[in-house]
Amino acid sequence: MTAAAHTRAEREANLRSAFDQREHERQAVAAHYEHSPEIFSLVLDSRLAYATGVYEHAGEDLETAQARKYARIAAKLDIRPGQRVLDVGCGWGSNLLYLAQHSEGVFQGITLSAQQREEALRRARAWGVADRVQIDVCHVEDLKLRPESFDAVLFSGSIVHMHNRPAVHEMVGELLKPGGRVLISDCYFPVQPRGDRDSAATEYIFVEALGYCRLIGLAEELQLMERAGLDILHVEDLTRHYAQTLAHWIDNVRKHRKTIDAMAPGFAAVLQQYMTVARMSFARRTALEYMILATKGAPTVDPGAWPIAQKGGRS
Amino acid sequence: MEGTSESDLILARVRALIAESVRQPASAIPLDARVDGSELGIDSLGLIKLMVRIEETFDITMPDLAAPGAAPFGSVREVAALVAREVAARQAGGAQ
Repeated sequence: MTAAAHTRAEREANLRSAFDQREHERQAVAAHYEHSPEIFSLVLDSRLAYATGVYEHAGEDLETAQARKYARIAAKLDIRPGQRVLDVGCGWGSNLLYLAQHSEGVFQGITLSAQQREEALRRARAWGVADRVQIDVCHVEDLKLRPESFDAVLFSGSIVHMHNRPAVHEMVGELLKPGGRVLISDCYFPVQPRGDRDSAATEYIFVEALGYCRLIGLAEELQLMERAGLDILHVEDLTRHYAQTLAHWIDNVRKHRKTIDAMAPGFAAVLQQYMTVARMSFARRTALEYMILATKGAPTVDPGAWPIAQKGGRS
Repeated sequence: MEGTSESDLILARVRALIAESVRQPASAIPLDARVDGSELGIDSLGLIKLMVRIEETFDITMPDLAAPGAAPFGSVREVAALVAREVAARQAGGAQ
């Protein structure tokens, strides 16, 4: 099944063979992330999450919001000793290494960027978890893994780069053991279009800055997951939180503009420009950020039991 | 007057940046044209790129485009006046 294309880049992707699209993603997506981790360390939190944080208050700093997000993902995935976890698009290892440090699981990550792999492995060694961490440079559709061999699969800010979503979800459905969990944190288009999806701004962020992005509707993603045999457990909106995260990143780009430009001429402007487009999109809700949790078979976590803060006084 | 010449320089520089962004000579940019209006033909991405160029050039922070009701882009003259205020604020801050 090919979902309707929303942008010019998607229509072009639909004209390519699956092989050619995979090669396109391998090169176009990796280019952004191949910039020095030193640059991203000036812009992101200390663990280098390139995804939204979770804010309880407007004035909170980036580090606090990202720490809350790591803990939230850890609680949702609930990794038990010896369980096997796959992080698809693991970046510089932000979530993967946090989970490795806060569980006794065994971790496999993939990224399209050799620079990201190297930095993630360097951190794994420095933090004493390298014996439980494997990271490969690999496209998700090239993974050759045994069916029912993983307890959890994570996509944080990565599935948006993957055009062939049905294949990705089918793979996850096969890969998970019964009771396994999959968590996706990413960006979606509202079903009723708001704003021009073929605008120069959309093209800039999806193609020029980030190589290849495919935003679909939340319901489309959920349906593909269900078709792959997964049950949706929990979905939460983090759109406002991403707008806030981007504001922190943009301020950090401003603060370090000269240093970034000395390392990669022109890249500070690219970062500030695409981040501003993204921030405006989330602020106006022309793009939406969701965190999705699904399970294969009977769930081992129970979202119904998760606390929701009560409004003043009533119990 | 010293203050006048400083703000004239800023106006000329802002006008030149806008002219670059629409690939026109500076003389083709009317000072009373709205920067975000149809007269100059700068789209939303063009405005963001222009804002970043202005921030780089003058080492200032422009108002947050994503803030509710934000409208930092009036006429060329008004944008230049805003830049001049931000430059003055930076210089005052730097002197402390």
